[in-house]
Amino acid sequence: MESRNQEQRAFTGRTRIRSPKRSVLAADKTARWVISIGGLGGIVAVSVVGLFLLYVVIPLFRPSQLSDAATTDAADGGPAILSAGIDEFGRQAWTLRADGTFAVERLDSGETLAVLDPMADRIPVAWSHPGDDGSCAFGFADGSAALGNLEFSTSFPPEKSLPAPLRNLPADGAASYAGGVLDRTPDGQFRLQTLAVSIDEPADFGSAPVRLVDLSSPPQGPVLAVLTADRMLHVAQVTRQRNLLTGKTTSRLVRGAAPLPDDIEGMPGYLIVNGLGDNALVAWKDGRALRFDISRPESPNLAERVDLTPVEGVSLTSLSSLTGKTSLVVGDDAGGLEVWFRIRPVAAQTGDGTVLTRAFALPAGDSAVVATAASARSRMLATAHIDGTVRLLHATSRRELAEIRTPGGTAASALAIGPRDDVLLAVESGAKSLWRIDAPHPEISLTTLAEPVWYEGYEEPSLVWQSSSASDDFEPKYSLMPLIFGTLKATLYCMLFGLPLALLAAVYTNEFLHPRLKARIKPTVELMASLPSVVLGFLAALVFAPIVERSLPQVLASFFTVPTAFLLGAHLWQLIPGPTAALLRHWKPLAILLMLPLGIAGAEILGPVLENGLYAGDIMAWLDGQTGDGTGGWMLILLPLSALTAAVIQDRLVNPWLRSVSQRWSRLRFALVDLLRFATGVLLTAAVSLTASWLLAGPIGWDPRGSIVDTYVQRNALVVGFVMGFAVIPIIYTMAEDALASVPDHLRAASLGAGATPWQTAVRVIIPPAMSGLFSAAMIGLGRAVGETMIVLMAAGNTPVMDWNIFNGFRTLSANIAVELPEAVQNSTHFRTLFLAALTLFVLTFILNTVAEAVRLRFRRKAYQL
Amino acid sequence: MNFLTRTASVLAVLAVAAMVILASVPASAGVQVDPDLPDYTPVKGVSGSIKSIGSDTMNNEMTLWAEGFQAFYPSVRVEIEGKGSSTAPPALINGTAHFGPMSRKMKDKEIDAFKTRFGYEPVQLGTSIDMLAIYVNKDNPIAGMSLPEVDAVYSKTRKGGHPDDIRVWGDLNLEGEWAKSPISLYGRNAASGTYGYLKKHALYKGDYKDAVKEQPGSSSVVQGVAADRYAIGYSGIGYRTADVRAVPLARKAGGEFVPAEAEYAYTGEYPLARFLYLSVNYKPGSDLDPLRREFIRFIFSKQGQEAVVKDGYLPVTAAVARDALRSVGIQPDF
Repeated sequence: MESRNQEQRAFTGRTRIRSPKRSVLAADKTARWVISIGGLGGIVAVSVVGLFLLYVVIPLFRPSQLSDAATTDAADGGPAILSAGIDEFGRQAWTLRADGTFAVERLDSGETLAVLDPMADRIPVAWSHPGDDGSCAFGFADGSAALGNLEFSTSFPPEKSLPAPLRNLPADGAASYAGGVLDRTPDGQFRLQTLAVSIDEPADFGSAPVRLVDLSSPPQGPVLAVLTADRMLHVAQVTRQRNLLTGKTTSRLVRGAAPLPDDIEGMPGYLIVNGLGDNALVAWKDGRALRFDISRPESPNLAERVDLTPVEGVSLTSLSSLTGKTSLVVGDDAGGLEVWFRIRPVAAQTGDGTVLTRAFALPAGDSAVVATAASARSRMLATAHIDGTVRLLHATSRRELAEIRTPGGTAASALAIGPRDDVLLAVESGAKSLWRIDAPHPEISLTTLAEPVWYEGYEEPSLVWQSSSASDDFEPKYSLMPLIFGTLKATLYCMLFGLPLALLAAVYTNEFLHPRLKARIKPTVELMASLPSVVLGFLAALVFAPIVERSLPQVLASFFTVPTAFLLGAHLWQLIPGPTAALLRHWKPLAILLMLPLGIAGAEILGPVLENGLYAGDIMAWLDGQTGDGTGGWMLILLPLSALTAAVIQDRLVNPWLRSVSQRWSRLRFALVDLLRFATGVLLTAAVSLTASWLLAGPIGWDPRGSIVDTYVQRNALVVGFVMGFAVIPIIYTMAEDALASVPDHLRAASLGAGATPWQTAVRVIIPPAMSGLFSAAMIGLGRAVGETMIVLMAAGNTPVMDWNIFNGFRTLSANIAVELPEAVQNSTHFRTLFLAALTLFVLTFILNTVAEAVRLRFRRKAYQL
Repeated sequence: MNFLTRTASVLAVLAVAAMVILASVPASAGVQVDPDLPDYTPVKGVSGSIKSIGSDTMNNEMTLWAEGFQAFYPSVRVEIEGKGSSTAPPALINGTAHFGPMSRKMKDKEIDAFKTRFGYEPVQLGTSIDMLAIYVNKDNPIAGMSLPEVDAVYSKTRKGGHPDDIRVWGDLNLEGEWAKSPISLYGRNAASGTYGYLKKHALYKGDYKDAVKEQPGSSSVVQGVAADRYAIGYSGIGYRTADVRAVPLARKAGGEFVPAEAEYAYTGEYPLARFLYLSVNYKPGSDLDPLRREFIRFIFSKQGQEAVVKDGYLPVTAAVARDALRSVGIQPDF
C-alpha cells in the first residue's frame, strides 16, 4: 500500500504502478492453485491406476488354508468304508461300504439320510468313480463288472408339495427331506439334493473274480478296463455316435483281453485307464508297472515296462491320477509323491512312441501315503498320510497349500475334494471330517509366472502362455515370460527401423533443408501421427504382409539399394557444375526423391540375383533351413555392420586425407574422385561382408538360422517393426526436430562462419546441446512402442513364441490383455494374471521413463555448461 | 513389376475379396428346413429390448434372428455383442444379457458360478448345427486330413497319436512347390468356443503350438488363409468364402475322408459337427417373460431356422426343437 502512495511519474509521463494489480495477484494465485491441483491430480491419477492394479493382483499371492467346518462321530460297528464322495454344497456325503450299500450322511449333524442298495445282493470287490461326470464302474467276485451312474441330483420341489414345517426354512438353512437335503436358492426357491445311484446290467468277463476295475469317459464313449484274478486284462470300449436327424445314438461295443506277462509274479495292486481311453497302466505294490496300449481295444498291447519307485526298498502305497487322468500321482511308503505322465520324445523305444516319464516330485510328507484324492476342476490334490496328516497340494505350482491333522490322529482311509474345490472330506475309521478349502489361486506362484514349468504332456519344463480352454481338466499355463519377451522384441525391431530414420530426418530437415520447405515437411510428418493405429495394423496384416512375403528377396535387397541410391544421388549432384548447382538448388530435394524409384528398381533387379546366389534359389526354403548354408544369413547381419564401419572409416580417415590433397583440384575433378571413392567403398563393403559371411558359415560353420533368422511366417516382426516404426516416427521426429531447432542460431552461424561444413556443424555443434531433447524424443518413442497394441494385435499373429527370429511373430503384453481380458471371468486367476501383465507393463514403462528422465537431465546439465 | 504396382494390384485383389466375402454363397444352400417346424405366429404384449452377449461364431445368426423378430415386433430393440463364447456366462450371471449365444457347452466352472448366484443351472438350447471346418487356401490340392493329422499340425503335445510333428505340407504328402513349404497356422483366440472345441475334439485336449497365429474373429482367420497361400485355419462353416477350401476330414488315421457337407453333419459322420447353443437364465418351474419366450419360439420356428440356413449353418429338426422348447417351460404346439 505504501508503495502505491509514492507513485512517481516516469520519464514517459505515464504513472508507473510499482505493485501489481489485485486482479493480477488473484489470477496469479488462482493459476498457481489450479496448476498445483492439476499436477498433483496427475500424480494421484497415475498412483491410483498403479494401486488399483496392485489391489487386483495382490490376492493372487494370498496363502491358501484349510479351516475346520464339521466333524461327525464314527458310526458304530458299520461295515468298512471303501470310498467316499461329497455333494457340491458340502452338505452331505456318501460312502460306499464293504457290503455294497451306499450311506448318505448329513455332514453338519451326522444324521444318516438314506441307505441305498443298488447292487442288491452283489458285493463289489473293485470300484472306480472318476468323479467328474458321475459315471462309475464296479467289479464283482463272479467275474462280472457293471457300469453305473452315481451323482447327487437336484430338483426344485414346489413349495406346496412340502410339509408345513419346512416351508418356513430360513434362507441359509438346510433340512433333511426325502433322503436328501433341502435348502433354498438365493432366489428363495426350494432345492432338494438327493443321491441317485443306478447300476447297469453287469457284463461278464470270464469266470475268475474281478480284482480291479477302472473307467474313463473320453468324448467318444466310455472305456472300461477290468483285471481278473486269472491275470487277464480285459478292455471294453463303447463308441457312441449321435444322428442328429433321427436323434438316435448308435453305440458300438468293442472288447478285447490280454494276459499279464508271466515274468512278473503276484497280483497287481493298481489299474488306471487314462483320460483319452487309449492306455491302461497296471502296477504292483513293489513299483513295477506295465503300460498297455489299448487304442485298439480288441487287442491290448504291452507298450512299456516302468519302475515307478526306482529307489531301492521303497514301495508303492498309492497310485491315482490328476483331473483329466493324464498325470499319475505315485505315493510311496516314505511319504514321497511324484507326478508321472507320458511324453513323446523323438527316439522313443516303446510300442506306441510315447514314454511314461517321471516329471517332478511334489513336496514329500513325513510318512507313507495312504490315500489321495484329486480335484475334478483343477490340478489340486489331497493326500492322507499314515501319521494322520492330511495335506493339500497343487501339481502345477508344486506347492503344499496347507497341512492339517485328522481329529482322531489316525490315518484317513478315504479322501474326497468337493466338486467345487471348496471342501475337503476325510473319512477316519468311520468318522467324517470336513474342512473348507480357501485356495483362491493355488496355480500361481512366482515360479509358475517366471520360471520354466513342466506342464503335463510336455517334453521338458518350458515357459508357456496358454490361459484358457473349453474343458475343465485343462492345465492353465500362465508364464509371463513369453509376453514380456514379445514386448521387448516388438520394441527392439520397431526402434531399429524407426529411430535412425526419425532422428536422421530431424537432423536433415533442420540443418540442410530450406526453412520454407521445412515448414511444409514438418506438419506433413506430424500428420502421419494422425493415422489411427488400427488402420496401420489392418494395412500391415492384410496388405503389407502378403506383399513382403511374395517379394522377400526384393524387400531385403531394398534395405541395401535404397540408401545406396540416395548416396549415389548425392555424389551425382556434385558432378553438376557449381553455378548450375546453385541455380538448381531448390530442385535438390526433388532430385533426391527421384532416387527412391531407382533404389526400388535396383532392389527388383538385385533381389532375384541375391535369392539365386545366396539363398539357394528359394529364400523361404532357405530360411526354413532346408537348403543352402549360412552365408546368406550372415550377410543380413554383417552388411549393415560393415556399411556402418565403412562410413566411420571414410569419415575419420579417407575424407580428411581427401580434403588435404584436393585443395587445388577443380570441382569436377573432386566430384569424380569422390564418386570413385564412394563406389569403391560400396563394393568393398559388399566384398568384405560377403567374405566374412562365407568364412563364418563355411570354414567356421556357424549358421545364424535358428537364432535371429529362421522360418518365415507371414505375420512377423519385420512387418510389424516397419509399420510400428511408421507409428513412432512422427512423434520422435517432431520432438527431435524441436530440440534441434531450439539450439541458439548464433552457435550455428559461428560454426558455419568459421568454415565448418553443414554436416560438421550439425554433428559437432548442434547435436551435443540438443542431446537431452533427442534422447527424450527417443524415449517417448520407445514408450509408445512398448505400449502399442492395435498394430501388434492385428499384424503380429499373437504367437507367444520366444525367439529373436525377425521373420516370425510374437505376442506382447498389451495385445494379450486386449485379446483376453474380455473373456476372463472377473476375479478369476486368469483375470488377475492379466492385471499382473498390466502391472508389469506399467512398471516397465515406469522404469523406462525414469531412466530416460535421469539420462536426459544429465545431458541437459552438460548442455548448460556450454 | 515394382512394389507400387504390386501394392495396387493387391489392393484390387482385396477389394474383390471383400466383395466376394459379402456375397458369399452359404455353404449349405441346398439344405431344407424340417417341414414339421411351424410358421411363427406373433402374439400381443411383446415389447422392450433384448441384449445378447456371447459367441462371435453366432454373431451373424443372432443378427438375422433379431431382424426377423423385429419384422414381427417393430418396437422391440435388440443389441448384440459377439466377442467370444466365454463372455456369455458372466453376462448372464451379472444380468447384463438376456441371451448368451455360445459355440460350445458351458464349462462346469461357469455353471458353478451361475449356480452360486441363482441356485439352478442355466439352460443351453441347441439352436443350430455348425460344422467346424479346417480351411486351406483355395489353391491347396490336399485331398483330406485325419483328426490325428490335424492334431499333429496344430498341437505340440500330439495326443492324437500321430508319430511325427507335421511342419511342412510335404509331411501331408503334398508334392512340388508345396512339399517344402512350412504350414502357416491360423486360429482363434482363446475366448472363442471354436478354439476350445477344436482343442477338445481334434487336439485330444492337447495344447496348441505357440506358432498358431491367434486371430480376434472367425472372419479374420478366413481372410488370413485366403491371403496366405500356405496357410491352414479353422472356423465355423458359416464363414466359408470362395477363397478358401474346407478340407474333408476322417475321424481316424486311414479312415474315409468326409467332406464338410450338411448330410454328413446330420448323420454324425463329419467328426467336427457341433451344436450352437443359446444359454438362457430360466428358473425351473416358472414361466419365461413374453419377450424371451417369443424370441425363443421364433428361433425354433420355420422363419428362425430359415435364418440359420441363410447364415450357412444347419437347421435343427422338429424333434430337437420340441425338446429345446420344453426345457424352458414352453409347450410346443407342433
